[in-house]
Amino acid sequence: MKKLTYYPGCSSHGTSLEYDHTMRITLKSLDVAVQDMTDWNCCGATSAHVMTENLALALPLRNLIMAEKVSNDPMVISCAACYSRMKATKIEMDSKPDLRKKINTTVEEGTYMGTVDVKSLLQYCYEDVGIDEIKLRVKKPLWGLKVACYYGCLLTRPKHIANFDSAEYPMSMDHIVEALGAKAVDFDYKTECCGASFSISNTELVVELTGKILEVAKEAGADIIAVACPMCQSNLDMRQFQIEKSRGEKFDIPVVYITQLMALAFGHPVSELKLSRHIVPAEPMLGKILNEPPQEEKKVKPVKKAVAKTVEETE
Amino acid sequence: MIKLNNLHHNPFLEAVNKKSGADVLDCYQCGKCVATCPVSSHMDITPRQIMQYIKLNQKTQVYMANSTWFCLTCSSCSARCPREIEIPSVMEACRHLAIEENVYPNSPKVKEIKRFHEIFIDMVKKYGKLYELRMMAEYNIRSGNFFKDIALAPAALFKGKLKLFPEKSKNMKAIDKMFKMAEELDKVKV
Repeated sequence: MKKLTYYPGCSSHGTSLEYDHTMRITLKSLDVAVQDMTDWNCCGATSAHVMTENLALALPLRNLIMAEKVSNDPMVISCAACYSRMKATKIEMDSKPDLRKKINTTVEEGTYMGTVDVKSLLQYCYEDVGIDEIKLRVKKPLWGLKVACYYGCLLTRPKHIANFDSAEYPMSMDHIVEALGAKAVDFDYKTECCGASFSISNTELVVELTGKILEVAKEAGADIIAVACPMCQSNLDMRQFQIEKSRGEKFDIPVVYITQLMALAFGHPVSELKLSRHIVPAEPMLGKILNEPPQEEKKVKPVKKAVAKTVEETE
Repeated sequence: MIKLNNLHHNPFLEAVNKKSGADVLDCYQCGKCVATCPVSSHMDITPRQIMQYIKLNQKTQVYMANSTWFCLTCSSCSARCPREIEIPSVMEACRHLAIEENVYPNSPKVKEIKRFHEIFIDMVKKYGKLYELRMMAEYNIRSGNFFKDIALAPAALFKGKLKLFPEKSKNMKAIDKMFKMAEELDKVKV
């Protein structure tokens, strides 16, 4: 049986409780044992690294040390920002022994050993669990549901930190969504920044950036947007009405966690998905799921393109 | 006036390179970062210009711009930079140097951003974890905008998105010690 050590992050019992809960039931269906940490602290998110150098490393380092106390299994993090901070800290600690000694003096719980891998939840599901295992558990395929997979910035960037999927046009979440029976739409804005932690201090910016993401998702014909980060979900969902008002256009696009989709497809009851916690009502998406696979789209005959003949052909 | 004959000694470039781990001299000013950056149109000076200012030892121009404060650290720029320069690290290095020298832009927006970060860190110092409700309340009070996001409050509280009471780390003594030691190392009280 696969095991992982789970770092919940600050939003897991509040803003993203539905993500935490559906993650647990989904991983259980996938025969993955979730080991909780005895204690953890805030990773520092954006604020710590914006304002400080050493505190920004100390906060994640304590979490890495606490995870090592649980086991050598991978440390899996559901929030993309927390994941990015923990992974970046791990890379610094692994590559710079003097820095590691210095920062470790601030953590009284123990010494960093570097024995634990750090992965985002999406990465773990895609790499460690795998698409085949996910497909096996699908009992109620999400046929007919058109999903725009939104990755945001930190699941696949910076490249040298995430080292996962593509920084430009990732497909891991898309593949999971397709394995669940739904259709992942071609979504140009899948890795465009939503404005992240400026949600409170620079709300107009978030309204602008997140607004563009919603606009492109709508153009792509998405019924819903799937996310794998509480910050992304919060901006796209909680700010959607504000964005609609500022743009004078309706979106009505529910923003759901990939684990909610997985839980639904794995046959868990709808009540377990905690859809009522969404600000933009998510229940309507259930009505878009068909009872049978959608008809194959009529294949359009390709128009013969005029191709310039090569020099050899013309001679 | 920029004295070009002094550029064999560029302490700003050295400091930024050391802090960021990047080499700003790699930049050949293609501008791809500016085209990609979601907030470049909001910046006083663009990432490309920042690289050039660093090469010309113009730290005040960089410190006084809102650019490093508006940087989202989204890494869109570095994903596309043909020289693979870690531009977010360069922006961060410039910002940290400015904080060390206690130089901040006059922009009211930057003051808001700085205020938010300070309150966030303060919450983590007090609770070990982020107490979102108190953070938002303190931010509203300190920024004088008491009713900001008040429309979101009923839905957020009712749906349990904002917890009424904080959850603390189990070992607050360890958190206190960490903050004290880290502040010593940072030499800057946040």
